[in-house]
Amino acid sequence: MNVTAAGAAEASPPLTVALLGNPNTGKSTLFSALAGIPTRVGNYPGVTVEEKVGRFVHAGRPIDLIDLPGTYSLSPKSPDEKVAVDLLRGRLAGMPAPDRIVIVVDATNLERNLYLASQAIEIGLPTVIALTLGDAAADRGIAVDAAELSRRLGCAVVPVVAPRRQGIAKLADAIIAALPPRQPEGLAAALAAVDPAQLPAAREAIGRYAWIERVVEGVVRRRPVARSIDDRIDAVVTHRVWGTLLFALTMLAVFTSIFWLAAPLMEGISAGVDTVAEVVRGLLPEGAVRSLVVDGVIAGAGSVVVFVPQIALLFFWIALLEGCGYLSRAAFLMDRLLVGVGLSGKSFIPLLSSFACAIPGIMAARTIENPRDRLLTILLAPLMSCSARLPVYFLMCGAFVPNVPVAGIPWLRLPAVVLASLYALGVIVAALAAFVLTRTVFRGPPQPFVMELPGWRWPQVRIVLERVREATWSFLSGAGTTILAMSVVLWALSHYPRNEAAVEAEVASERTSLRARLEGEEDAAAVADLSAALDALDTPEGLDAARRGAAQRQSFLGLTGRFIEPVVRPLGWDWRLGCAAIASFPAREVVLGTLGVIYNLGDVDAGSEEGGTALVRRLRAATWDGSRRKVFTLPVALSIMVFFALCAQCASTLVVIWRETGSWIWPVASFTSMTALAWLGAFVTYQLGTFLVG
Amino acid sequence: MTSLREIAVGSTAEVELITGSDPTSERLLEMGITPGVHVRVIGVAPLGCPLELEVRGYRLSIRRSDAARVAVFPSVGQRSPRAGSASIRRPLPR
Repeated sequence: MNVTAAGAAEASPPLTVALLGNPNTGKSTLFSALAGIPTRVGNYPGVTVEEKVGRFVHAGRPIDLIDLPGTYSLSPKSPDEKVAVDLLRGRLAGMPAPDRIVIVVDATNLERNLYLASQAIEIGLPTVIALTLGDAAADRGIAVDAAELSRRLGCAVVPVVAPRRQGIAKLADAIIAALPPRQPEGLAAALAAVDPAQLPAAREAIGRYAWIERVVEGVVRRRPVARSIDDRIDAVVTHRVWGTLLFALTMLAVFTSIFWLAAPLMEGISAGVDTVAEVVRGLLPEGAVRSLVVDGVIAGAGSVVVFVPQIALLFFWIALLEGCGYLSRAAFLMDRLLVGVGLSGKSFIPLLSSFACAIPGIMAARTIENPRDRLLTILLAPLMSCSARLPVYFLMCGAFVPNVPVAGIPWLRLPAVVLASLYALGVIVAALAAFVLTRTVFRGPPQPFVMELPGWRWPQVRIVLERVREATWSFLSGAGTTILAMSVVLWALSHYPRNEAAVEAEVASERTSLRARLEGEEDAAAVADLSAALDALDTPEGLDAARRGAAQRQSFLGLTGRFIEPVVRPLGWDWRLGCAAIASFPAREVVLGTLGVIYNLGDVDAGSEEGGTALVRRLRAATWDGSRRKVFTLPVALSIMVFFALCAQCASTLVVIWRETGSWIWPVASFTSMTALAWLGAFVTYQLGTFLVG
Repeated sequence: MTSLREIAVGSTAEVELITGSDPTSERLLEMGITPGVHVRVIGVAPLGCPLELEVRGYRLSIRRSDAARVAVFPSVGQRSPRAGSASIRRPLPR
């Protein structure tokens, strides 16, 4: 078979073919067996339903294969299903009805699959049925007589084993040759025979299934199987003890791989970006252009690419678990836990992943079909404490939380308790937010939670890789470009206006104020700190760091920090902390780096022992302007941590929320409400802390 | 009236009717839970909800609150020992 994207016979107009089917029928495997990698992936206008089209050529005829969202019936209950139905009926703006319909029918589950198929045949477009999973059916003792089924349905039925490409050429032949089907024998009569006392929806289902039962009679032969594969696997997987244990181990593996396994890959990417930045820095003359290219564009591109390992790994797991049938079992096991807050078990993996990083977590919400649950999961994901917040927690806990036992238990140390409480805080606030949202903004009739538990099967390597590629590419091309543009804008805001004279003036005044404080100081440790800071100003590195700090503080972002000082005062913060919070907006993981710059340390690696110690010393020594009162006390450290636990200070997350919801309303609402929550949490923490500790 | 949520794990029941006419009952019908069909309760999630069912040769999961709207005749089933006996009506073990 000739399957090439650019065939010679492009002259004849392409045949548009809609690929329709129930979820979990091997539809994506069939799509890639027919069309290969999709030539166009986007969204249908006005909705966040993915549009996937693949062009291939068969027997000299170009064919556009449209992969419709999986649906159980043609009376739609979700936006996904509505798109499928509207497209088939030619009601989608700018898209004529397709020339052909290919209905994917799962041989292991013929009765339920024929429900949708019988509705689609009635549309009257030329139709072909692709009978998939014949191998899985054989394993379960099920044999389907395709020729007889074709006779009874009135359209061609082609058995295919898509992973092994069996029957693909025949299917393509049948697609080109397809004619409008005749009305299936006896269907109209079966629908008319239903008790008119039944409700219309029930009449449709009862009539159709009565007809289907007659169709499959004699078409499907079942060899009795002692105990099916699904029975044996499900007995373990959904077992109260073994199932729970297996689930915990699986989730541990998923989480470990995105939390720890991704880390060296991300460090490798960062190192690579740094190398490129250094090379380019050496090539360009010093000045605004060099800074734009190196600190704006290259650093921005790096901050996009750095998310790829986590996204790729998470989608690898999701595709693997979905491919074998475990994803819906996981949702089955966890459903009860999430029902209480108005979600379903399908939100578990997206929310769990968000503890590593909200970005892959938000993208993983694509596996949730119910649009309300999906949106709610996306909005709650950033409340889970991600790994980028961890350095802030570690630094603050290590430096300002006394390492004392709690409640007299020697191994239970206060810093560990604080750390655990911060994680719990995010979860509790998320649960409360879900509780409130499902009763206000997202109020509405309950959406059906009727979840298929597909038969167990081996995952397809090709499909797994395709899912990983698709997720990575959609992040890079969609969210990535916006994140990059935003990084450049934020770079400009943190580098301009540039006034060398004002910078020198600030450095000079700093020197004067340090000298003045040194004279009046009697405490030996403070004297050592102050003279060290003064000495640093006389070294080239120290002076450069002081200049950079001053420039940062005088930039638009820095000025905003000063401007919002009255707002952060009640949190116990001075304007420098306000600056740091604002300047950490481009990426939360750089907040410690930003603190380093603002506190005149230049680029410190706060993760390293040396850099961390230097930063801690500098923070401990920090005082309020014009006084000797220390900025960093226990209540302030706690208020900083609570703020970072609850805030949405991460531009990339907000961009991904925008991409995944298709609307600017949600990132704006998310940012505003989370910042308000974070401020309130930090305010209560600081005021209560000050009241208790003094 | 007996509902599907009262059927013991391992037992099979015949569907009598589905109450209500909202999207959930419509979805249950479309998924093949129609009057006269046999539904086997395969298991319950470790936290007590949802249920795992087998109907028309495939498996699906529904919440106990939704199972309550499926009225059944608790009379059939290869594995249910005594049809209509108290052992079948007993609520699912937690």
